[in-house]
Amino acid sequence: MSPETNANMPDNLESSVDIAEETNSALSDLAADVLQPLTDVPAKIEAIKQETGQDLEKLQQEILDTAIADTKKNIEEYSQKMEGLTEAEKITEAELYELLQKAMETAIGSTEELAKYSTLLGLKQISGIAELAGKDDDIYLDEEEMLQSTYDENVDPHTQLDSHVLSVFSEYSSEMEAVTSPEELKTFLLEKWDEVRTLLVQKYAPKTEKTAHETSMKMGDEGMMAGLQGLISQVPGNHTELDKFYNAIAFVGGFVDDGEYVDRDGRLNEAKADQAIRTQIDLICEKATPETFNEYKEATKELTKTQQNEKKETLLKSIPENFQGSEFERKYTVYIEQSFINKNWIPKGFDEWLVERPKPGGIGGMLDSLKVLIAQSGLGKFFKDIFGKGSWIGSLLGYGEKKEDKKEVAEGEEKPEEKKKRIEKEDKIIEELQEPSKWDDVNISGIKKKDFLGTGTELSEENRKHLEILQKALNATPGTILAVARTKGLTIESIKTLDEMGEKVIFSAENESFTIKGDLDKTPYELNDTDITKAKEVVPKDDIEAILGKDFAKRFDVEKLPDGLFKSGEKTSDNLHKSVQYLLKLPNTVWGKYKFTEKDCELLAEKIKSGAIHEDLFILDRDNDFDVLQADGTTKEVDRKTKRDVIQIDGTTNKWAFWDPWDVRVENIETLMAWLKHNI
Amino acid sequence: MDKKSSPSVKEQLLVLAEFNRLLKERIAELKKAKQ
Repeated sequence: MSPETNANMPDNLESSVDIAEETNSALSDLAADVLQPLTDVPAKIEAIKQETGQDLEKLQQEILDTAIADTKKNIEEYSQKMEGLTEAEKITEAELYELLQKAMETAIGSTEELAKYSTLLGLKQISGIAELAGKDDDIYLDEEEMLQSTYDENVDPHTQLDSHVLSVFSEYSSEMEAVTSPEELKTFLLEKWDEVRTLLVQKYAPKTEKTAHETSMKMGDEGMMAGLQGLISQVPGNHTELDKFYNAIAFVGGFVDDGEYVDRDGRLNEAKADQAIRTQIDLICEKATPETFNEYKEATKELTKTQQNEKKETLLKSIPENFQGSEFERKYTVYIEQSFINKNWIPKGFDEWLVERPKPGGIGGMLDSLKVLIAQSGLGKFFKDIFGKGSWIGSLLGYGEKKEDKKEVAEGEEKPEEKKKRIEKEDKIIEELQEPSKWDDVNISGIKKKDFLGTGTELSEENRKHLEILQKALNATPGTILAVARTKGLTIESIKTLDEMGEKVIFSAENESFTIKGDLDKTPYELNDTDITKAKEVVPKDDIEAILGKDFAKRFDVEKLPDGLFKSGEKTSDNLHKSVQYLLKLPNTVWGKYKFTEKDCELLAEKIKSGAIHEDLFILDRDNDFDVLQADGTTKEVDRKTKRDVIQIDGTTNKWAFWDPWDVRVENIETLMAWLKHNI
Repeated sequence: MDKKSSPSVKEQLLVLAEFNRLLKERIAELKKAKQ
């Protein structure tokens, strides 16, 4: 509608026209390919206009209802009905939340109304994402509440408040992104303190003054969570409620004695605490020179995928024994997986619990907690820079100057500053190598990854084909073929047990694109003649033989290796070598095409015996991790220093590595063996 | 319409459109990854 027309209209009608223009303008912005569900809206507008005259409010509501309904339909379809996706791949509520946040930022430049939109679309409220959008108090802890309700646990109201206290710091790193100078850092930290102080005043209010949190909490019977709370309460010594905040403040940058900030009447001595914390904040900001501040900023950058995985692994490993196998563990594991897949944040409640869980007593336990917090924050370097030079907290955290650093440098030796530069350079290389494609040309003793494993992280075509054939066989004869997913926590003992059971197929399910039936680690399926016959009916003979091998029951017997061969040296080395035996043995079982002969292994054994092979044996897999095999058959990622050593492998060091044969394309097993024979 | 207390229709539609677009992008990525 033109301005000239508007000029002749009564005010109220002009206002309506404005709304109509606004609506139409919005619709014109929605390209058909962008907003497919709404392509019929213009026609609908016209139709409603015909029916309703100038009832633009109704018109708008209709349009909006249509858009909302269609969007909900899309969400439903995308998040629940996509076929062929694993649970991990499906779009989760957390991701939808994140998408909504991005959409708001792009479309209207604000996420203030995130809660309204999420409610509008029926999205579950998810705390971590909500916090990213700007701390809407109406949104939080739904996932945690869901978990808690599962167990009908007895929740201590204080715990809920503690959760709030720690949540003030839960997105510290990402919030830091918005801080651009040391001056802003001070403002930022003071704001944090203000938030925490308000919560602490609540917490230390006399018990008769029930807080909103307390009155809203339900009290139930004992359950899993109650048990957890019981464990937490056993944290020894002076681990008061206030400690949690001081840990958090320590996380920001300093320690405060915690014994004197609660008065006799049980109230927080607000003035005293305020003064102490402000002093700490001043100290931090004095130390935050522009140089260290930039490093601090650098450290707060989003963690790489590999770092996320490390963090995830740490979190998962931290689940205590009494959680193993529990429903709680299962749900939390899924939750954590989803959280890390969708966003680099830790589920609310879990980080708090991780920090608070029982630790060795005294200051050591507290320090462990603090170290966990620092590690989770990705701010280790910052802390090291700030506290690394002679401070008592730095020395407690292991950041103090090492004695050897003070030694005079002999002629020809690397000076500390040179060493620092070299390490930084190597660290940078390692960081860059976290990108899978960067690995393609990495050369390990003459073999490039891309020549050996192919490019990227996908399975080779050949391996995929074999897995698909196996899948087919599994579907055709359920319960007949033993499949072991290496990534599901396979242990050497379980492999051994399976070996002793006779004929079966073991294959790596790493990167598999299908779901393995049943809990195969616990209830292995035996392969009998009937099953083989059935499998042959659906799988070409050559493929069956390629997969199973003609005589895989007569595989190389590790017990025949010379006595004591793998018992030399330290325990780690011993265990590692035992693992090597299985490593050598398993690909033979898995792919069948190339047999590691007894002679191969004897050759390897001789080399190990003569000391030609360093005790560190690295298995480089498709994830570009640097794994080392452990005694239980699992792998553990090595530290960064070792990574540097591995990168430097060029025949001049006594360390060696090879691309993980488990992942290797069948045709390249022979290449691997040729390489092994040549190099060891 | 009080824009301070609640998003305008235009805002809501724009957000929904962008949200749908992102959803589709994400789905396309997933499908590509699966192939």
